[in-house]
This record gives sequence, structure tokens and C-alpha cells, in this order.
Amino acid sequence: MRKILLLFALICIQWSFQAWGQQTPLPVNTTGITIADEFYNNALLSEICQDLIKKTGVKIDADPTLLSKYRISYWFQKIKAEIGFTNALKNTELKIYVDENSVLHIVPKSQKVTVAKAITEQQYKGKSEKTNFSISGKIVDALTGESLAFTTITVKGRKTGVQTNVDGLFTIQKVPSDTSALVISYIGYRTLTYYLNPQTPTSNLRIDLVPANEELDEVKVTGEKTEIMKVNETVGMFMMTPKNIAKLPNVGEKDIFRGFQLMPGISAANQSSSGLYVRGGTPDQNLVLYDGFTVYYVDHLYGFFSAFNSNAIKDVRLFKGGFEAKYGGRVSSVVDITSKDGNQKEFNATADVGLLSANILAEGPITKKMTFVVAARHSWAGPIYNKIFNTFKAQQAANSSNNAGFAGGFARRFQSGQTVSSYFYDLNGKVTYRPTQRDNITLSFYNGEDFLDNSQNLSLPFGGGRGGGFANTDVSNWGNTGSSLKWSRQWTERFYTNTLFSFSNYYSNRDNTNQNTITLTDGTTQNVKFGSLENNDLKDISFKSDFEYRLSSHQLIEMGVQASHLQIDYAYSQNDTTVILGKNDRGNLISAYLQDQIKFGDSKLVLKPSLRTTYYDVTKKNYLEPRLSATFSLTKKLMLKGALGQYYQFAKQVEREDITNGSRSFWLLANDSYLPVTSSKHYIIGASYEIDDYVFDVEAYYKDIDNDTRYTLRFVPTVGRGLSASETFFTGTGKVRGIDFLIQKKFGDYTGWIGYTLAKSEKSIAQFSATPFPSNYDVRNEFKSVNMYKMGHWDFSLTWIYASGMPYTSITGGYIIKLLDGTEKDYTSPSTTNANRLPDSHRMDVAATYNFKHGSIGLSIYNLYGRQNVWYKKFQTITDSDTNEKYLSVTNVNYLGFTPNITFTYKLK
Amino acid sequence: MKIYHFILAILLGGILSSCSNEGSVEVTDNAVIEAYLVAGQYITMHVKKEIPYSDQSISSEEPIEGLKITVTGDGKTYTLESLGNGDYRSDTTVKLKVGVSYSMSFVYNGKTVSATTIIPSKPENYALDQSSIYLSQIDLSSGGRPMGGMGGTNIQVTWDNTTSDYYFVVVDNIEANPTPIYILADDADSTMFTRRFRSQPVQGTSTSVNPNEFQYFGMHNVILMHVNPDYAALYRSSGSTSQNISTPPTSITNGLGVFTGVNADTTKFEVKQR
Repeated sequence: MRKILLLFALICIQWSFQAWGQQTPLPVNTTGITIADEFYNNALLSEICQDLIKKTGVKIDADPTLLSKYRISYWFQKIKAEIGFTNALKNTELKIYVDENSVLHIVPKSQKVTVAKAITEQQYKGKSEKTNFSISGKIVDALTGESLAFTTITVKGRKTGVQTNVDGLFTIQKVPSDTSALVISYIGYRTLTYYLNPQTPTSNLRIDLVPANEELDEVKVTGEKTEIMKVNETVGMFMMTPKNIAKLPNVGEKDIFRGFQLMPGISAANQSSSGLYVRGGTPDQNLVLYDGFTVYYVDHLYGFFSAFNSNAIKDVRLFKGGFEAKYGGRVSSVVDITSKDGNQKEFNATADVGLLSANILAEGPITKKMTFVVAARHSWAGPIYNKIFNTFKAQQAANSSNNAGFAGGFARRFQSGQTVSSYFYDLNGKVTYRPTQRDNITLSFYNGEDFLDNSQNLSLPFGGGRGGGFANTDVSNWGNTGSSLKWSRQWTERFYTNTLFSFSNYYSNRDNTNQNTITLTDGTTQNVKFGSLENNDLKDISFKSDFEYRLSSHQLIEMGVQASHLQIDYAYSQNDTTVILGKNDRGNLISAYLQDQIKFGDSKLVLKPSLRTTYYDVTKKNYLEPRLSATFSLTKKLMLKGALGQYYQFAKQVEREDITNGSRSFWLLANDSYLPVTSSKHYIIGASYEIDDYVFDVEAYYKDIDNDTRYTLRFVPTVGRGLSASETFFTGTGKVRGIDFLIQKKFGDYTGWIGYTLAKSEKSIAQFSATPFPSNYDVRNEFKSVNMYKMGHWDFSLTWIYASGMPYTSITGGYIIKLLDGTEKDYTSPSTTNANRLPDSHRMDVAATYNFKHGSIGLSIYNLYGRQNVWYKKFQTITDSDTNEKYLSVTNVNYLGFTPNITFTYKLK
Repeated sequence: MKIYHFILAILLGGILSSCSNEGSVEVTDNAVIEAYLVAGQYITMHVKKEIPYSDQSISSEEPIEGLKITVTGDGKTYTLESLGNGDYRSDTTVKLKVGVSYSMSFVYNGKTVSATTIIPSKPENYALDQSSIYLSQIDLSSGGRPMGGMGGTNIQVTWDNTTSDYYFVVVDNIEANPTPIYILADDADSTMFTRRFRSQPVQGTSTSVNPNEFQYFGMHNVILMHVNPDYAALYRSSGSTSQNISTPPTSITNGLGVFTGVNADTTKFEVKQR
């Protein structure tokens, strides 16, 4: 009791001064007390405090009359006192802070408090004891304990620093003295200046970063800045966290890939696709790694959304080109996705529901050393889902062959028999086990699938009882299953290894057939299918081991080996019997890489030479990929950068001319004849200039692609009798050149960027055109403006995208053939490949999000002013009913118009 | 700050958008041929111009008149007579033969348009497993769609095919005034009923006709067509958008369309009213 009175006196003094200032982030000061196991059910807060003071010795300072106003139910279980109290008081008007004397204060939320800074929050006044030493540790999220990968740690005053690895671990060498300070910055978190003192541990140092967008900030923090997106650190790299993507406008789903489409150099011109068209590259030339395993399928709902549930993702890095030798097997770009490890401190769950899908995530500790995350998403036939689905369905109908056999036309006129069902789902799971401070073992799993059914069943309107039945099936399903088991270990301060075993399977099946059941005279039945069947199945089993050795503070050596077994089956058959194209590819890849990061002249010049070599057993050849990237700090604000490198791709998707006449794409393994290994050379040069809150960044690039393959049935010389591969696969070269500009406002209530890309992407394939022609995704000018404004509990955003017209192959004419069954069919003749341009497109999207304690409500409008952007052209022969004349009609089919969406998010904690 | 940013965005967009164009399309003038050579028959051919496409004008289909078309085969040369409206015909006494290679050629726009085909053999061992079925008339005049209950099994069509050739079946009602199976409401569009329907070309030895496909009672011809691969390809190629340009492979040099031999066998099938 005496203690309480004493503290009461203290609080009076506290009341007496009210000042504006900084409150220390919670984790900086600590009570040092962990409460083992105390359960309180609807107990008076004052009694809880007294009990805990008695039992644990925690020092609590509070106004007893204030405390007696609240009744709390909370289970303190192996939890630090300050965290336990923070959780326990979540739904009250009270908050806590811990002062430098480890006293826990409970005060009203409205109260502004000033406390003396924690020891790590201010310059240490005493003498230094150590100089030129190294520190290693881990950066974690202050609220969830989630490790933070790719966080930048710099010794205050130095230009460049180190980055944490995927496990959030870092080693910083040659720290000048133990009174220096570390500056730790990470996108979406408050930049922290961490002052060292002679007592600071030099190994296993744990530093907590506080997320920036906590809407519950009672105390305005000045001086600490948060970045929305990170550029300019590595040549051609962007980094984003899904947290920020949630603030941007969306069409039903917050989508990391659509977020990246807002960056210069990544095309947003194909509005129906979330695919990453990076600097003239196609999505298949983009290596997508999810927790280390390669994902070959990245689409949902005809590609409108990416297959990744952003709730389960911790961070994403995208390399637009010139990437290091650690990554291989793709010629354009890399997307490296790391999923969440799970909350280490408490169980939490989040649910999202929008007009398209529902999403749920649960995470938490299993044991002290083990955490889990599981996230599931399923589409529902909401208004947006149907809108997008119907748009694509119309496109498919316009594009695909009329495969209906008997009475196909008749069936179409009685469409009521059509049963359409379709959905997508995905499931992410991860278990992280940390047996020691140095080891990290994770098992990550992903599974996602799309199922689309456009089937018609004729027996419905016209009597199914007539034995057998006519059924037109049009079922597509595609999906991906992947898993990785990773073990990483920080052996010493200098040596780190990461070993990964992974499996990835992509499958895509399309069954567009009519099935007739025949009862043979001997009484047996037989199913006969007419139409086309397309199946693609890819399996990738890989083993990877990466080693990192920090030679000195100037030099980091990384090396690794990788072995992959790939098996790809592809079959395209018609009418059950005719296999038009059938391939069963098997291949093994063995790669090794070595890369070195060397810093010269106080990190003014950073050189990263690297070399990758791959043995591909199909061609029985070795492929050498030398690469080099460099940054040079001309002044503190101005940095020059450049990169060049050689890239090879062994598993590739072949571009089809009849894009929708089957599945959207298929994967094949390169061979030494008609499907050669694709290669590419990148040359990048650029500069970035950083002042206060702004970054100006420019990168010019040139990309040379060799052995680019297109697939078409157009030039088949002899008809029927199957097809030989050399008559359908055509190989040529490609050239992409362009320049990306970015002006970014990084900090403040108003943030955003302007991106502009001027680019030209062309291909030369002799069979298609004697002269080079624009590639399918050649967009000359692309301009993007992204604006975000934070106002109290609200986040507003506005994006505007302009893109010059995409190329398309038009027709030179059309004709009609009267067939033997008396029907007429339309045919068209193609013009020069991609000789025409669709009109320019532009679009404005807006979003407003209201954040509250347990979640948010977001309203988003896609295509605000309803611009009709042309998607493709539709050609039809029309017979004039009066004159009986036949003429060609060309209509524009547009992308989605004005589409609003509302998303509701609820967090348990 | 924000408003300037926005104005800049709009302005820059305006400047950029002013420097793009839609491109032009080259003009073509191809001959489109429609010719089916049938064993035992004389030659008929229809020739027309491809309908040119341009952004600016609308063109319609036009026949090509006055061509000098010759067909050679079996050591003979036939000159086709122009009947007007793009139709051409050989002497009516000509009887084409199975297994003979026929070549056609004519000059159009300074280019020689040519093609060669063979008339396939008459289908062998062609049979239906039933010769008639009973179906009930269905009254849809009061609206709604009845569910099931008409009975009948699929009619199986079989033939010999040792060389994996393409075959398909056309079913054709041959009554002068056939009775429709479905009675529609008076205001319904009865033209949706067709007398004729077909199967998809297959390389197998059987196909089946579902009784649900019949739309009229009465006698039907069930014609088994034996066709060449270039004809089968016509059913495969489709698509009519800039994302999927369709040009079926053709055996015609310097031209479009079809010049192909066909053979057929016909049998009768009756749909009786229950």
C-alpha cells in the first residue's frame, strides 16, 4: 500500500508537466520482468497491479482511482510485463509506457507524456571502450516478433550499410566505436537510430522496429521517417511490402503484382492482366520465387489477379534487370517473395472480405521456438467476380473455336442449359522453427487453383432421358502446388548458410469437348470425345545451398550450388485420337555461382562482380553467365549506377499467336533443335539523386534477346497428319531499349511518385516478317502518377496511368466458306504481325481507407471516369438482311469500365 | 503540392498521347475458292474476292467473273465455263474419279492461283445400328422447358478406316414439309430449327448421333463424308479477334479457301412420331 501511495505521489508530479515531445517506442525501455502465468477474470485493474507488484516485483505507477474504474480479463502467460499490459489494456482508454527506471506507467490515452529517452535512444555520454569491432544481431517487428529481411543498417554518418538476410540477421563490421549509432530503416517502419553503449551486446543483439502505419499513434513522432517503396539501393530493384499495397486502389483484390505495375519499367498497359511485363519481357521470363521455390503459375481468374495472397506475404523484391548471379534460369527479371513467419508473441487472426473474395489468416506461436501462419483465400461469385468472369468469358467465346459437334449452333440458341461454375482459391502455410538463436528452419507450402467451367449440357432442356446425352464440356483448371523446406544457420558472425529443398508443380488442363456416349451392339458403352484437350504439367524438384562469407567490412562473398530436375509434359489433342502436339520433356540443371561485393573508398564505389555457370543435360552444354553491377557515390546525394550481364533461360513459355485458342500459355523445356535455350544480355546505366524527402531516379537499359520462340499454326505447309515441331515453332531475336524515370516523394503525409518509361521492344522472326516488328507488349510511352495522402485515420490514394497503344495484328481481309454441311464459316487473313496500334489508354483509380483499431474499411474505384480502353478488336462477317451483301464488321472490345469495390478487414488484435 | 503534381500528370499525359497513331493496314486482293470435287460428278467452283478490311471504308463480298480456269487430272484437261456470279462449271458430262489427283489453276491479278487434291474413296462398311427411332412431340407453346422423358438411344455410325482418314456425318431431313418435334409458342422464331446437323470430323471408325439433335420428324439422309485433311482443318481454325487471327491452312497457292475432294455414302434414317 505504501508503494502505491508513493507511486501516486509520483504520478502527481507527472501530471504537472505536460509537454510535447517524443514518447519512446514501447520496446526500447523494458521493465525486465516476465510474468510467468497469472490469470485475471474480470478483476479490478488496481487489484491486478497490486497482485503483480507483490508476485513479480514489477514497478507500476498509476493513479489508483483511475485503475479502480476498470475491470480486466487477461491471462499473462510467459509475457513481458509491458507487453502483457499493452495487450490487456487494448480495449480501454488507458495506455502504458515504461520509463528509463523500468517503471511501468499506466495513464489515460489522451495524456501526452514525456519520458527521458532510453539509453539506446540517445548518444552515450561516457567514454568508449571498444573501437573497430563488429556487431551481429537480428531486426524484428516490435509488435509481432516477425524477423525483417532486407532491412538496411548503417553506421550513422556512413553512406552505405549492410542488409539483413532473409532471416532478419545482420553483421555489421568495423563499427568505429561503441558509442556510435546505428540507423535502421525498412519500408513501412519507422527509421530507428539506435545508440550503442559499452554494454550493448555485440552478438545476438535484437533490435525492434515499430511499424509506421499504426493508426493508434497517440503521440506524433517527428523526425522518424517511413518509406512506402524502396528504390535505388540496388540497380534495377524495387521493394514493397503488402501493407502499403493495401492503401492503393484495387479491383477487388489487393495485389502485389498490380502494385508493381505502378512502377516505371513494368507495364500496366495490359489492363486485363496482373502479369509482370518487365522492360519488354514477358511474364514467363520473370523468375518468381516464393519462399525459395519457383512458381510457374502466377495467375488467378484469367490472369486478372496474381496468385499470391498478399496477407501472407512479408516482403517482395523485384529486380527489373541486371540481377546478380544468385538468381538464374530467367532472362528478364526476378520477383523474390518472402512469406510471413507468424506472430511470435501471440495468436492473431485477420479476415478480409471484398466483393470478390474472402480471405482469412491466422498466425501465432506454437511453442516458444515455433510459429505458424496459415492463410486461405477463396473467391465468391460476388458482383466484381462475375463482372470480370463474364468479360473474359465473352473474350473466350469470341476467340475460341466452335467445337460443338452435333447441333452446336442449336445448342447455342438454347443457352439455358449452360451451367457455369468457376472459382479460385489459394492456401498458404508456413511453420518456422528456431531451435537456437542461430538456426532457422521453415517449411512453407502453397497451393492455388482456378477452375472455370463453361460447359453446356444439352440433355437439360431436351430431355436427358433419351439415353446418353450430348454434353459440351469446356472446363479449364490450372494451379500450382509448391513447397520448400529451408534451413539457415548463422555459423559465425561472418559465415551464414541457407539450404533449401523445394518442389513445385504447375498444371493446366483444358477440356473443350463434346462427349457422346455410344452403346455398342454388344452392350458395352463407349465415350467418344470431340473437340480439343490440352494438358500441361510441370514438375520442378530443386535443391539449393547458399553460402555467405563476410571476408571483411569491405567484402562479402556469396556462393552457392543448385540442382533442379524438371519434367514438363504437354499434350494438345483433338477429337480423342489426334495428338497435334505432344511433348514429354525431362531435363536436369546443375548450377553454381560465385559473387563478390567489394566496397572501395569508404563505400563510395561498390562493385558486385558475379559468375554463374549452369550445366544443362538436354543440350549437354555449359552456360556461363558473367554479371557485374556497380554503384558509385559521386556526392552524398548523387549516385551513379550500372549493371551488365548474361542470362539464360531453359524452361520457357512459348508465345502463341492464337492466344486464347487453348490454354493461355504452355511451358516447354528448351532443346538443341527447334526450341533453343533463350539468352539475353542486359546493359543498364543510371543515376539517382536524393534530397530530403525526394528521390530522383533514372535508368536507361538495353536488352538483347536471342532465341525467342513463337508458336503458330499459321505456316503449316501440309495439312493434317499431325504437325512437326519445326513447322510450328519459330525462333528469332528481340531487342528492348528504354529509359525509366522516377520522382518519388518518400516521406510525409503526402507520398507518392511519378514514373515515366520511354521504351521500344521489337522482335525479328523471319517467318513472321522480313523486318523487325513490335513485340506484343511494346508500349512506347507509359506514364504513372501515384499519390497517397494520410489524414488521421484515413488513407487516400489516387493513381493515374497513361500508356500509348499496344500493337496488334489486324486483318487484311475476311472471307466466308460454305461448308459441306450447308453452314457458312468466317475466316480472316492476318496483316503484318503487330503492324497496328490500339488507341492510347488511360485510367484513373481512387481509394479511401478508414483505419480503426481492429481493421479497416476500404472503398476503391477502378477506372473512375469510365474510360473505354480498347482490349482487342473483334472481326465479324455480317450479312445485310436487305441487300444480302456480306461485309466485314470490326468492333472494339474494351477493358473494364467504372468498377467500385469495398473491402472490409478485421483483425482480432 | 498535390494539385501541381496532378496537373503535371495530366499535361504530360496530353503531350504524350498526341504522338501516337493507329497504323495502317495493307490492302489485299486475294481470290477465295470454294470447290468440292465429288466422285461421279462434274466440277463446280465458286470464286470470289476476299473482303478487304480497312479502317476507312466498308467493303462487301464480290464474286470474281471472267476467269479462265482449267482443271487437269487423269490425263485430261477441263476448262470451266463461267456461269456468272462467280460460279464456274465444267462440262456436265465430266465424271470425276476416286483416287485421281486433280489440279486446278487460273491467273488472277497477274498471279497463278493453283491447287491439287485427290478424291477420297467411298466409305466402306458404313452402317447405322438402327434404322428408325420413335420420339414424342414436345409442346413448348406454353413456355418452359420440359425435362427429359423422351427415350431413345444414340444411333451409332460405323465405318472402316485403316488409314486414319477424316470422316464426319451430316444428317439431313428430306421431307418436303416436315413436322417439327418441338411445338413452340406462336410468336417464337421457328427458324431456329435446322433440318441439318453434323458431327465433328474424326480419324476414328465411329461416331454417334444423339436423338436429341433431331428437330424434325420424318425421313433423314445420314451422309458419311470422307474428306481430306485440309477440309477437316476448316473446322479447326476459328477465332475472329485481334488476339486470335484465324487462317486455316489451305492447299491453295496464291489464294484462299478450299479446293478439295470429298466422297460420301448415304443411308436413310427415320424419326417416327410416337
